[in-house]
Amino acid sequence: MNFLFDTSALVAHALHLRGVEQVQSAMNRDDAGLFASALSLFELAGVLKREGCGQQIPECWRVYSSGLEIIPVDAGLAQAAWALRESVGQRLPLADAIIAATARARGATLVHRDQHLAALPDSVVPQVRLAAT
Amino acid sequence: MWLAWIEGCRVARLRIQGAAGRAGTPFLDAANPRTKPAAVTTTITGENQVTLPAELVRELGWTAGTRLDWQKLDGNALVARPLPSRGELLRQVMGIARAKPGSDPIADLQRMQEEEDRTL
Repeated sequence: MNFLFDTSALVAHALHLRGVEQVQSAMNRDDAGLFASALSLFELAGVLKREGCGQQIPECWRVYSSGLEIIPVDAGLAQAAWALRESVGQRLPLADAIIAATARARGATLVHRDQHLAALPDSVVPQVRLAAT
Repeated sequence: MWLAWIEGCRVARLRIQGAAGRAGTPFLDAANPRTKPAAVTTTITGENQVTLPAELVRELGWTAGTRLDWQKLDGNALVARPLPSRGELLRQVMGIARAKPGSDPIADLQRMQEEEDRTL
């Protein structure tokens, strides 16, 4: 089984928010492929800065880049993300469309706490929806 | 215990030592020739692979998937230290930061995504 961690999952992990144990549990799976989109490194840095924790950005980038396979955005993913957004009939923000398409491309279960992604059917992309409350 | 190792055309020996980068975790140390070598020999393949003796791996507590950090020392020697597992590595940043009191960073992120996406 492969897991792709959405930015919301990385934020929950780094900031110890609800769902952090589920995220770490998936990260402990030695038999799993662990992925994140390069976009999530950017978004995570933005969240850390807004929360006054900008000094932790380099360490987070170092560890997540070492422990996870970071998937870059390329032309194929951009096209897949657009096709996904057009097919789901709902407004899916750019970053979420890219991240969901990346999970699909890797055959990975998407781990997140994101309301936009939660609206996607599991038949489109399998998901672990982290508890929000 | 010793493990034969070949570097270039010469044979070096790796010693198992009971201390390492992580406290209490053993590692292979080729540098110290003081310990009497045991008759454990393996050979590097044409693809630079070598099989670690099972007894040695059990003794060290290494498992399939253990990642090793190799360092070349003086005297034709290599040291292999086990790196943390992925899970252990990633746990290093679990809760590395804390959200501001009363803030909801994930909800804020989603609002920002929506705002940035409005014109696309």
